[in-house]
Amino acid sequence: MKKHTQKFILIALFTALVFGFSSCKDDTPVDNTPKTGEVNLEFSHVWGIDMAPFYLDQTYIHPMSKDTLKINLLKYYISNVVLHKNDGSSYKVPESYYLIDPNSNKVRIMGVPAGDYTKVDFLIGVDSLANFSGLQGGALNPSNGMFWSWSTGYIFVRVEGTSPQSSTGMFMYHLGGYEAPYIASHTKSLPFGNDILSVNPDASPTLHFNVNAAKFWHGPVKLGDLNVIHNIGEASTNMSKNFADGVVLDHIHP
Amino acid sequence: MKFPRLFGAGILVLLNFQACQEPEIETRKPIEFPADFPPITYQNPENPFSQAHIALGRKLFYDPNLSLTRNISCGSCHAQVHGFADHNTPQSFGIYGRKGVRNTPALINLAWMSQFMWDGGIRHLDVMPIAPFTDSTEMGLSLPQLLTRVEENTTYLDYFQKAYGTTQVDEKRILFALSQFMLSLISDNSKYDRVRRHQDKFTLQEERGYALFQENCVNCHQEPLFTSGTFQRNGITKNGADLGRFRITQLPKDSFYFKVPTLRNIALTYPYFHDGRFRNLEEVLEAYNHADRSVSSGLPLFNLDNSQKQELISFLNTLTDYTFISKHQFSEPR
Repeated sequence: MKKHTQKFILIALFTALVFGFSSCKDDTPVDNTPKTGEVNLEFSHVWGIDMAPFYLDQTYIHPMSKDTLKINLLKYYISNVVLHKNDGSSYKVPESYYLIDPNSNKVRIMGVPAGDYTKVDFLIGVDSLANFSGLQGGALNPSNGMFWSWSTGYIFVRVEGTSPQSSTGMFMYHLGGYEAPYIASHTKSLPFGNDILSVNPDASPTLHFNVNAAKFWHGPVKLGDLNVIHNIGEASTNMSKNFADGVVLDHIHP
Repeated sequence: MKFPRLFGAGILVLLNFQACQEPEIETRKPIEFPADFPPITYQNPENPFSQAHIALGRKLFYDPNLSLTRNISCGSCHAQVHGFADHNTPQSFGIYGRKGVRNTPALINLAWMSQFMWDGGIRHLDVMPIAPFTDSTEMGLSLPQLLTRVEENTTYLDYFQKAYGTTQVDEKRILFALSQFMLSLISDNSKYDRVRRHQDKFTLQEERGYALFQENCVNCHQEPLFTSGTFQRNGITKNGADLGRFRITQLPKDSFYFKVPTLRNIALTYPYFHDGRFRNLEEVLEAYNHADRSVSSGLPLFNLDNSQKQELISFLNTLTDYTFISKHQFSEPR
């Protein structure tokens, strides 16, 4: 500890000297920009309690309902990412709206202030303001097929596929809703426990999450009883909650 | 004769040079919002008004290629001569003659509206056209298809360049321009408006009608926009599968509620109500006379006899705005 302090003072003195000289020579402004780094979010999709790898277009048997099913589309919004430090301070990632699916499951966040972070918050879904403040671009572009045209608002989670247990042979759950009592966005607040997310200009750490696709039928929801949701309401809210419960932090890559 | 002509040509050349050197300055406001109307509710700082945007929006509004079958434009069901409602059909017909479920709403004074469609499901004008563009009974295009239909038409290049300084087409550029054209559809020059501005006088019959309007209608059809923007049940008890606002909120209390439409240009927009169930204003007033007050306790009693009905209708006729339905800038560009 002592050694470190000495080293620090030496470096500080040396820096002061260098900067002092340079300010004599010319008036080049000192770079006071706070140091930043990047943080990656990665979402791995898994199936069931044993967290088997999940793939689109592969047949699974649901562990609770025993229904046979194949998911061919799975998309959802992650938004409003906030990184917390131990001292209570936090960094809210501006304009953080990301559309995740198993084939596009990584997010790169630049410009995060350097430091050690101990917790992440985010929303599974889209905040109410973004829902009715007009036409958005990027991940929120209505062309992404995650927008209800007839009832302004985003589909927060969209999952579609086939199942012999469904009366139509298909299922289609479009989950959304941003006004009480039918709110289908859910805040995740995931502390890192003994781990630390260390952000600095020379690192590219990753928060690695597991997303359990079997959770849609938690309860158990039977495909024979429920194969279509395409509006806000109790079904949308309940299923989105189950899905959000299946999103967990697995580990952190330094 | 020869000299002035040359002189004129010289000036033109000079002016031309000047126009190249200096940016064009717009002398008149792109959209004049009437000073005696409330402040507008439309908000989008990303979409500043300009003639170039309105011109692009107008071209898009009347373009039938922006439907799957290339024969339905916005203007197909929103006709200027009918106050931008449909041509007096109860429900409208989209691609392949597919029939819609509700009566086409009139596009009038949208700058003061914050919820769109009969059920208020749409919360911002900029996203409103996505519904008819993508609905399978209306225009039947996906948004990427819509972009392609605009991109493939080279006559749009100049319009995009003028409005946005680029020929690149995207969702925002299409929809923001459409919003601007729709925002420009302002009706504020009916006889009622001129009377209000002391430029005209009601007849005795219209005057009596106005008094009846104040007694029975004004709570929901507030002046000067002639709507409160609220949702009302109007005594409706039977309505097939259409539960109105319930579809949006999923709250049982909202069943059979629909948005109060404006009464401006009401004489032109028949038939009436969300499904066009009443053919004329006499039928509407008769329905209000007999509406089920047990489901709509706030509804005034009306109790209008035939001569009172005629008086009220005389007043409603003063809301027809002939400037609005004949204004060149609102018509299909040729």
